[in-house]
Amino acid sequence: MPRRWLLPAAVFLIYGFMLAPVLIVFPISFTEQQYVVFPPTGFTFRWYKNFLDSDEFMRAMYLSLRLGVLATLIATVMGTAAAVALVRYRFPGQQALKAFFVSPIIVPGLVLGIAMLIFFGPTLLHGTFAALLIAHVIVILPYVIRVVSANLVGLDIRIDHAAQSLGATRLEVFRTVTLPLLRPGIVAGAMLAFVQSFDELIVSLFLTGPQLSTLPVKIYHYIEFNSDPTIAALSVVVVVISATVILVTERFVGLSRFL
Amino acid sequence: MSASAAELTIRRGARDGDALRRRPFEPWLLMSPTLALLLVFLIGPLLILLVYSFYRYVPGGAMEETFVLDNYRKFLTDPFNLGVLWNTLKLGAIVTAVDVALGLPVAYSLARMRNRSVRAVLYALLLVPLMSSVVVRSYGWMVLLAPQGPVNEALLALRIIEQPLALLFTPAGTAIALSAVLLPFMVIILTPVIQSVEEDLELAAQSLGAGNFRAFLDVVLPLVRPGLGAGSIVVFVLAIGSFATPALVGGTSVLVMPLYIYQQALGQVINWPFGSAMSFVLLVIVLLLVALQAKLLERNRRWREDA
Repeated sequence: MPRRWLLPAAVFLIYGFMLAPVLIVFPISFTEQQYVVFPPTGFTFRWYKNFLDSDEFMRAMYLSLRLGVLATLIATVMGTAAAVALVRYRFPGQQALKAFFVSPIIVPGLVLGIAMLIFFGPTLLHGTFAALLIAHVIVILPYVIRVVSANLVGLDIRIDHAAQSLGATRLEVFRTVTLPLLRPGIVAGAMLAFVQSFDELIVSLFLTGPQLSTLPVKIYHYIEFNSDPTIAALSVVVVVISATVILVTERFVGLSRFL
Repeated sequence: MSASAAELTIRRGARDGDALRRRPFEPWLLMSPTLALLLVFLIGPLLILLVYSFYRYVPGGAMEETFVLDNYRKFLTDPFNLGVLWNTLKLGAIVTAVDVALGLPVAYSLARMRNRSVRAVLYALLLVPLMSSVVVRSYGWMVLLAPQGPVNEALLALRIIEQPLALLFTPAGTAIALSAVLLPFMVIILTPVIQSVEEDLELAAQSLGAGNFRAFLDVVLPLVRPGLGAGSIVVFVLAIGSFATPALVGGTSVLVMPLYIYQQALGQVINWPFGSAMSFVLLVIVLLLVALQAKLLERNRRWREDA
């Protein structure tokens, strides 16, 4: 009966539709042609060498990594504390605060970008790494809060009570019982946050300049005016970094169970 | 997180309440860094943006600090500006419709898949595009849709078309690329919703003579409607707020609100008051839709609890 393979075939094609733009950059990055033609011909590492030799791209890559790591560290500590407050306590205004804490996801990046541009404009922070860092922490905080909250909700609070009844202080319970049990959520949240920061484009577009540019911003401006496969090579690197972080996290702590 | 787990925690929390009520300042202490950061650097900038949207634009000069509704009037009465709004909503509607049509079969298959390891792989594959930079994926679509790109080459080889189709830098190409970019969100939202519909219901319908497709249409679909609505709103909101894909794949062929706002903020003719007003129009549309989505999810939760 042909109906039995109709659904799997459709799913296969739809997956192709989602993955095609990510996969296509791999063959293109090795083509010998100056511009993008399909099918690609020849084989060269020229385009990889191109951006490895480019000071601008390497500086942007370094900035993106530094920004991502710092923003993730800050957001993970702040977000974990906020998640503990939201899940483990009862207080007035709780629902409203929960919504408020994840609201940076809802505000379109572009609106956030222009608002921050105007806000930072007259201040000393204008055009600095600090402004970029603040923006990134705000953008990635909701991911940490959501993932850590999901982990916390799944924990049985009676485990904490058991530890307390055996004489542990509340701080000891948190440090030796809750925190270790929360580790998968914290790791998953941090990894998700890092990838969000590393890939962030829109808000950064408004806060970067010629001297201070993240990798996605640099790629964006490059694509606007060039079409050689250097970007394909760079894309491969960016995809490999993001995919490795996500797949390793998925394998070891299970990212999707917290989403 | 499942609703029942949350409920359980709340009930346990209530029993635990006495100990916690004695330390009412603790949650606030834990939240204070996040709260302070968001109040100063999220609410602060948005409030200033709101103030700017009432300023008057002076061509070639500084803007006048006043309180006028000029910018909003300009946006809501000028046919060109309304056209931009219309383009944006139309793109959002098309992308949402495509993603509902493509998301349902994928989510259904994932939800009903018995082989756990295949399921895990398919789920992980969903995360790859979701977590790949939107710049990279937009660039990928530029390659795919180019006149000499794989899509055109394949269609030519299959003799479906005689001339390469103009896809890159067109509204159609933008809609295709944006649908692909946002599809993982739809699948991730729909899968658990479909999973919550017991398979027995479908089997019952089938035992009464309905075909697979009929059982899906008449039994599963009505039950997942709130979830489908919520997923559609997420995709629609992301579509009307998206910038990179329309900018790169659409080029100058599709002027949507985010591109227009970007031009006002960083383009040739800088008009911050007008850009601010448009940002607020976009933000208000998004917030209304998100409120609607919260209502739908709430209804979905109640349905399941009643059941």
